[in-house]
Amino acid sequence: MKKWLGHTNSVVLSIAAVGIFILLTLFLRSLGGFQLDLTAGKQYTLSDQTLTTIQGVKEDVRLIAFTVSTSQNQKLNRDVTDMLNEYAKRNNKLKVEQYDLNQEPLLAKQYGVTSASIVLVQGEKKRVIDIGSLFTQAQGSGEGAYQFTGEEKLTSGLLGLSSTRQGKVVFLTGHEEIPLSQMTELSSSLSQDNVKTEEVQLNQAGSVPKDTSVLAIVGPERDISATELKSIRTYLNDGGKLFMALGFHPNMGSDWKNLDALAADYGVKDTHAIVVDQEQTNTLGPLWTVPTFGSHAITDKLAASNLYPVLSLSIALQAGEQKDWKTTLLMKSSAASYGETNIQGLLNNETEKDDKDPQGPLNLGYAVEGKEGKPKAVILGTSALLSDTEISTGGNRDFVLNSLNYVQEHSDGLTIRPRQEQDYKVAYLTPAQAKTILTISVIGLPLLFAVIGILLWWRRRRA
Amino acid sequence: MRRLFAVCQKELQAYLWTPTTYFALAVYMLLTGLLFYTNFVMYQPSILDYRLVLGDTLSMLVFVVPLLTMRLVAEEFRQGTDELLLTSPVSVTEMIVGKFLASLGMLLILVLCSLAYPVVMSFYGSLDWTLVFTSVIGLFMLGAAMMAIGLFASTLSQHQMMSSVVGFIILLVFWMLDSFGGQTGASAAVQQWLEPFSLTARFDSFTKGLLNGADVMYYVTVAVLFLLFSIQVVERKRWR
Repeated sequence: MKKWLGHTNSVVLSIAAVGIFILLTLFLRSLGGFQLDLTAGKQYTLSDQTLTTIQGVKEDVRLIAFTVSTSQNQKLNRDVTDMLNEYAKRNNKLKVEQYDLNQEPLLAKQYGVTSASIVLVQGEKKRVIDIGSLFTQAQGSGEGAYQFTGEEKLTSGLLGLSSTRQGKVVFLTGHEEIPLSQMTELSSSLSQDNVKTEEVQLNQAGSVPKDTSVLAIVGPERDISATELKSIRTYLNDGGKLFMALGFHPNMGSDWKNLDALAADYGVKDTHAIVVDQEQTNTLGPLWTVPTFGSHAITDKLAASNLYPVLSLSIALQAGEQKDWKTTLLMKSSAASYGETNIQGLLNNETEKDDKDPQGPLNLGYAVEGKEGKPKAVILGTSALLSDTEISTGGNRDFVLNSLNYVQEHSDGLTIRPRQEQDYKVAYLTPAQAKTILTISVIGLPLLFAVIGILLWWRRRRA
Repeated sequence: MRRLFAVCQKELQAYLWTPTTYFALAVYMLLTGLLFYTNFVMYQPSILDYRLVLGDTLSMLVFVVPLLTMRLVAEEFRQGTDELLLTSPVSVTEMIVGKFLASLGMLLILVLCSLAYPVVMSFYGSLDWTLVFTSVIGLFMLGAAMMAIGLFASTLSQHQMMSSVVGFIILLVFWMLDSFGGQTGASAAVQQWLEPFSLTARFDSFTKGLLNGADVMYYVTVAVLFLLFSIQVVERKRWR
């Protein structure tokens, strides 16, 4: 009887211990973020915005990473998968899957993926984030340093999946604007936010489509006609919103009567002077400028994250007094810059400040709102930053998306500080060094233990 | 407590005066040394990241831990000294915990030996010592859980080799729990359930510089669970 009781006791205790172990493991895992981040720069500490977003996920979301494994991007792939795992740790509705793009081309095709990407899938809804767009070169932080914006993009993607908002940005065409086919990255970023994009030829359509959230005029090279101006004004007077990005054109001073009139409706004057900036520029030359920000909802978070756009061939703008609209400066060039008004000289690579050229700082963009504080327009003196070739540079994408979010009254546009990271530190070993390492690690240390073992064995044998 | 430390001391001495211990350490250092050399030197330029080296060398523990723990209790059974222990004032819990602490002493030596690799790496460039520090903590915690499993296997048989094989099999299963199942459908669900119990999946956060509460507790509970099993198996002998 005593023996039987002892066995039963033992079995019950063991089963209880296994049960406690399983429950405790699953419970602690569900707590997820209960951890101490000892890394420099707290690389795995997610922002409050991200944590709130993750906790808000109520339906299963698959986080599918399609990576391309090469020796060069080992570290980058690891950053991506580490980040995905950090998200998944905090909500078991998030499931991470990782595939090699080259080994799973059919699966990638199923999600419309052709380059390294993260695909977020929730039921029928899907978001694709290009992994390449998550990494940018860090400026002035030494060789191998880069910035990783994965958290911002992934959190935006998750928000986009659950967002019910809709929008449509209509791009004006017919005046040699930058076509949508050259702004695919912008379109893709907007579509992740449920914002559709399409083009309109006003001469054909007659009027701006009724469901347009924002009319965008990006880099026109010819002026709009009086009829088109009338259609646009009708749309805007009916509560429409405007996003206008003017780009350089040799005849802009004489030809852009209607475009200038449209900007002037909101108190913004196009000076037709091209910004030459020797101070706040990058290595590409003085026709590029890295502006400083004015204080506004569009720019405040970007300034806090040190995320500045990089602009080329920008036109200086001036805001005048306007009784119906309030204009707020978004960005300006340096005090050392000036506005080149001799466009012919500029085209011949001759630029020097003269009396006609306005002295910097020159204003490069304005946000316009009505008296009641409702956003109406964003008018920029620069347009190339929206194109595929420049949108990934610096904070261009963030600035453009923030501007479009602002004008559409989408106030939850995200800007989470990118993480500064260092690429792998490497060492080039000489054959002599390699030999030393071989001697120590493969021969020396094992031999040391083997010799001790043999000596002990010998001693025991003799004892 | 005094009796517990007496058992621990006796076992540690047994470890340190047994040639097998040093042969096991030699095998471990040879295999991990080869993996270190391959990872760090063979591919140029060498990457100064301990995590890349540690990942491969870690699997060696699956082979070495059963070798280091196989004799802990099995030897007592074989020599019949278990009868003496069971009738002595030393409780079974004290005996098992004492032996486990001794195995932790051995593990500490093993972990310190593994530190040779980051030290070698540091001669050729600056290393992130925070990551090395958290990795070493992780290595010790993982090793401790594995030692407890090995100790349990040692209670199952009086034959050391049999204990070693059983220990290896249990460790291998725990090691590969996150590899069973697939990434889609029902098998994904199976994997999702098994993955939290995998020994390896829990180790990742340590190598990233994170001390995750759930991971630390997992290793602690695995160790406690298998110590409890070991106590139960030895206690069973009392009822025979």
